[in-house]
Amino acid sequence: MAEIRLEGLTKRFGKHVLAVNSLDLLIPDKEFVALLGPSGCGKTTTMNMIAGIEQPTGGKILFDGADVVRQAPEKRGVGFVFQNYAIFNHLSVYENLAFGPKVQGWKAAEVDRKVKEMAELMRLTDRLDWPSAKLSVNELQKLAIGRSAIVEPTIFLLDEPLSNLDAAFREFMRTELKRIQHQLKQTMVYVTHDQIEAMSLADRIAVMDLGNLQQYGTPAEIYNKPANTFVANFMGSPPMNLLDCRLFSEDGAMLLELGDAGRLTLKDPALLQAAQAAKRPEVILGVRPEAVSVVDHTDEEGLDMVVDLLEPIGPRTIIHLRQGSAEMLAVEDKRFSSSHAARVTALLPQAECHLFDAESGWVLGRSPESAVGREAA
Amino acid sequence: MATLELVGASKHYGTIAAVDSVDLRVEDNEFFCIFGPPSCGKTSILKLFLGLIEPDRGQVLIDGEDVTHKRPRDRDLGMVFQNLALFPHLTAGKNIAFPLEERRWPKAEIAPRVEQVAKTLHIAPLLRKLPAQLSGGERQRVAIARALVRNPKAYLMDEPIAALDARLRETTRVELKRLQRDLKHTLVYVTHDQEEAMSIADRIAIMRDGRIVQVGTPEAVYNRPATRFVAEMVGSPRINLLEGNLAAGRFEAAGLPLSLAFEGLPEGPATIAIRPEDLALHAPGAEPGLVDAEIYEVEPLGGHTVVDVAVGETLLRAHLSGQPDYRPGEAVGLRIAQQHCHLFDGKDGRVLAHAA
Repeated sequence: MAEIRLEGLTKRFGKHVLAVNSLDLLIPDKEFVALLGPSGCGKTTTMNMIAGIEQPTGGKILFDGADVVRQAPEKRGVGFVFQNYAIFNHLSVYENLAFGPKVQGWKAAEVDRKVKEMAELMRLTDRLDWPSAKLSVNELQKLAIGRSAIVEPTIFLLDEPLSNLDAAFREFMRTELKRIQHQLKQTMVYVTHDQIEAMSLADRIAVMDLGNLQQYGTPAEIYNKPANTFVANFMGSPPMNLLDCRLFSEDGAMLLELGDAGRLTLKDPALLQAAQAAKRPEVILGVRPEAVSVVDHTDEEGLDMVVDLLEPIGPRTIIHLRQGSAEMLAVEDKRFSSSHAARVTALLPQAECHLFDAESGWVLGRSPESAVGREAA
Repeated sequence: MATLELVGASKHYGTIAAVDSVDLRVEDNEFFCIFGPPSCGKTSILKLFLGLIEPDRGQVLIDGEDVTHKRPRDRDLGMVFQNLALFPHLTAGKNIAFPLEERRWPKAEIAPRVEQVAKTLHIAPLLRKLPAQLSGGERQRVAIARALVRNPKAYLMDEPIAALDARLRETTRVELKRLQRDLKHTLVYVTHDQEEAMSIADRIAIMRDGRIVQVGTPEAVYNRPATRFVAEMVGSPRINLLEGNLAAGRFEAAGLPLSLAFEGLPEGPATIAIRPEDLALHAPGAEPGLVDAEIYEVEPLGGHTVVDVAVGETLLRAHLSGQPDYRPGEAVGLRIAQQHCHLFDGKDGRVLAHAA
């Protein structure tokens, strides 16, 4: 049982660097939470403070309600896996796994049973006698995870554990990690800059930028309802389309003007509500590329676009569209299919459109507090 | 404007063949990718074109002319390396001007030419900055500008964007594709990233152990792989492989109930390959011919979802549109449609039958 609660957690380096700015975060027991953001966003500093490797300048870290800020790292019951896996090269796989339990003074029979159990879980059973130096990179990473997991920490911290692996291994290890987490049932905090890893692994994602929490929610919430343009642009491959446009009303209707690409009459209730919340006419329209449909002819209201180029990427094709200064992407779940006309209409389903304030980048129609995520408070 | 050719070219290092009897012709104005795993010989092919190494056997032709023994500088090719190799003490502008100064262009012509190339690559405002003051993507463009500036016959690039972060790679590869399209120049591009190769190339050569396994459009290598190796190398998630046996006109999969008719093929071990996006999931028993399966793991990726499906001990990976709601442990009916299956020889991996 280990719930982690961060309250106003702050870390300054010197006078000018605010690495983590008053972070509030509730990580429920046995959940897998990803701290996601670009380099310098504060994710690793946050993890180091949870581990006790770094001292916060302000705020609290509560494990099951008890403040651990003054506790030494080894007293916190936290397991840590680093990017460089820190394996004892001169020891065998067995000895590496047995190291932690032995230090903790477990009985020999108990150590043996647990090592074999962990080797089974990590699929390293046939490697137990091997010297660690002979393992492949992905086996090393599994050993590193197994070595931390074996002493049954209540909280498991992983810092970019997959970033040294090549693409194919990474894909494989992603599934492995998820399977391991299901079986270990520990609270896991996972630092990554890779949005695909965060989406595919985590129960919840905390998106950070420049020391500030941008949004906290399930992968679906973060992807489908981004709190601001940073999150919208950081998640997804390709990212969400963000189009500069202008709101105006005509004959009692609300419309969006998108430069040379045309205009859209707002009909969706949520979108109308967002438009009414706008403080100025300049807004940013956000829509995921896979929500956009590209058609050659239509009577429906859409945007007139020119097909600039096509990127076939196997199961999907990315269509690059432009008109004057407006550029947008559409993704079709078809391979090499897209024999579109040079001039097309892009249809935007309004239920999947978002409006953001052009200056602050925050989503319109929701309060910043609710946009960041209800769990954050 | 140039065609580049290798005719029966080989290059050995000791007993190791880095390039093994390669015949290759890159057409004029083509965006040509050479793709393969590490140490497959792809960079050696660039070096053969450039003249940085000489073949033990065979010829190198540029525009039909035999340049096998010509010095690199007489071949008139532009090169961009992965480690950009910018001069740290020179401004971006000076770096771009360098190849012109080296070739003693008149001073009055250098500045306008540098300006023009910088404009094409959207780096005109950066010309006075030092490389250290530029972002990774900007340095990248300066290196490309330096290769473009003297208007060589063709460009060669060796993993030029591999060091950039994922998002920047996605946008830069599109810029490169636009640039090549607008300049109408021959471009030979080496990469180990299949998505990059698929997305930008007119044609792709796939290499393994110094040999070219297949040359074709992205569509051809993806939809009609010549070997099991090619099928595995292109596509993400990786293609599903099912081992089994061909006998009496049927393929019988090992470890799962799948039997498909393939007439007139030699008997013996064989492998079925089916793309993740060609697998379909239904309710168990919803229609005839479904394989009983169980959801093993779900990876929601936003625009699409990757689902691992277990059939007994066999794991298959399915690529589904959107955000379907599956849970681990759920029972499903898996459709493995024969029309989507490639069949490869179990011994040498060559294709026996393509998907329809």
